[in-house]
Formats: sequence, structure tokens, C-alpha cells
Amino acid sequence: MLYWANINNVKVGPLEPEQLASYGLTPDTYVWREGWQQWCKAKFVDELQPWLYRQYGNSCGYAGGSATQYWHFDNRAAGQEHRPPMPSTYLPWSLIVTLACCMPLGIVAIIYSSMVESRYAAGNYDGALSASSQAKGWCIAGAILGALKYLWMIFYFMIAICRVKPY
Amino acid sequence: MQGKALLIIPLSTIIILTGLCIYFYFDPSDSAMFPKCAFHTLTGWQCPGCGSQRAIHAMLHGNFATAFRFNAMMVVALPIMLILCVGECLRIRYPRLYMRLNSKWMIWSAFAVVTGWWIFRNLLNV
Repeated sequence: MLYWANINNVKVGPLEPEQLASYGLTPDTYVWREGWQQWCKAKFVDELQPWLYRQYGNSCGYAGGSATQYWHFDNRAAGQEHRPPMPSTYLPWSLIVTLACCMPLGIVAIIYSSMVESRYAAGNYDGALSASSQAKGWCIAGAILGALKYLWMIFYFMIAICRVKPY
Repeated sequence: MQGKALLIIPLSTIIILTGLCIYFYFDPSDSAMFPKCAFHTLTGWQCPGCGSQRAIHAMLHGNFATAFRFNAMMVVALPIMLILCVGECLRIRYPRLYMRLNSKWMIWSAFAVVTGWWIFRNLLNV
């Protein structure tokens, strides 16, 4: 994997990790590689752990261990650092739709909410996004059906206003 | 504030306040103005949300016991739904909080409570 790094405010790259280390990589150096949405500190990048460990030992602030242990320890942190936030599950809206008496649609939306969560947890971000838009669709359908019933309320008000005699 | 929020926030505030006023001044039990539940009209069974309009009216007048009788789940679920809505607004800023609020456990228990309450209230007629 080739990395770009911000070393003393100079962008260097593309470089292999070992070249990067010779440029003076520190745990807090920001690095980037193709496909990432943002720059990230080197201490959160699993692939750079062995190089950091060689230079800094345990001084990066983690509990001891060999370079390989380090690597596994940081897989999770690195994963979360780059992940976009979980797509909306629309859980409150589906509950509102359920309680506003359009229940079958609301319950379908709740099932899609759970699919958003499980797919995101499994790392399937695109799947989570599509489940999220499905949940949104069912919520909107339920909300429109619910709103149709409330049209009656507005209609009732209009009749009541028309019945008021102006004289 | 972004352009979209500029429209949505005042609009939803107006709708919610109007709704609260209507539910405060009119009693859904003896006014023909309020919509009836389509599921209840069609099948004669209660849906999970049946009675929530009367429950809101009772709650706005401070009668929580009465509200609980009309729709127990509504009273219990209202604070939880408020918390979930807050989480939804803070999703981008606090993704971890959002994941806590929308955990597998939370979503499936919401599903279980809704369907369980639906069956339970029809069996016991509450």
C-alpha cells in the first residue's frame, strides 16, 4: 500500500511504509492512502504499526506487546476511525408511524431498521445504506397514509367554518 | 443553520404546537373531528396505536393514569421516542451515541414490544 504523509507541513508520497519510516514518521503524523475519506494519524493505521513500534516502542500510549499484537489491537480503532457514521435507521419515525395507527407499515420499517444495524455492524456499508432508504420509504408511505386521515380533521374544520353564519 | 433546517425546524414547530393545542382543547372521545383508526374500523381489533389520541389528550391535562388506561404503550414509549429523536438529530456529530441508541438489542426489543402489545391488548381487551 502506498501512503501520503504530512511531515512538517510538507506532503510527501506516494511512499511504501518503510520509506515513510525513513522520512521521520511519528505516531501523530497524518497519513492518507487512496480510497480513504480523510487523513488519519499513523498510530491508528494497522499497516504502519510494525514501523512505529520499531522506532517508538511502547511510547505511542498503548499497553505493551509485540508489533504483531499491536497490529491486531489497532485493527478495531483504525476501522472505526475511517468508517462513515451509521446510516439513519429511522427507528423513531417508524415507531411514530406505528403508534399513529398505520401499524403494518411501521413494523416493516422497524425490520428494515434492524437490517441497517446488522449490515453496518458486518461492515456492509452499501447494504446498510440501501436498508436505510427502504426504512425511509416505508416510513414516508406510512406518514402519507396517516396524513390522509388527518385531512379529515382539516375538512371538518372547514365545514365548521362554513357553517358559521356571518350575520 | 443550513437551508433545509431553516425550513424544517419552524414548520415542524408550528405543526407540533397546533397539534398539541387541538389535542388539548378537544377531547377525541366525544368529538367527530378526530380520525378513526382504519385497522380498528375494518377488523374490529385494536392496533398498537389505538387510544393514543385519547392518551395524548389525557396526558396534556396531566391525567397520566387515564392515559395509561387508553394506551399504556404510548405513555411508556413517549420518553423513549424522544430520546431516539434526539439521537437521530445528533447522528453525524455523535456516531457512537447513535450506535448505542440503535443497537440490535434496542431495535429488536422495540419490535417485540410493539407486536407483543398488539397481541396482548387484543387477547385481554385492554
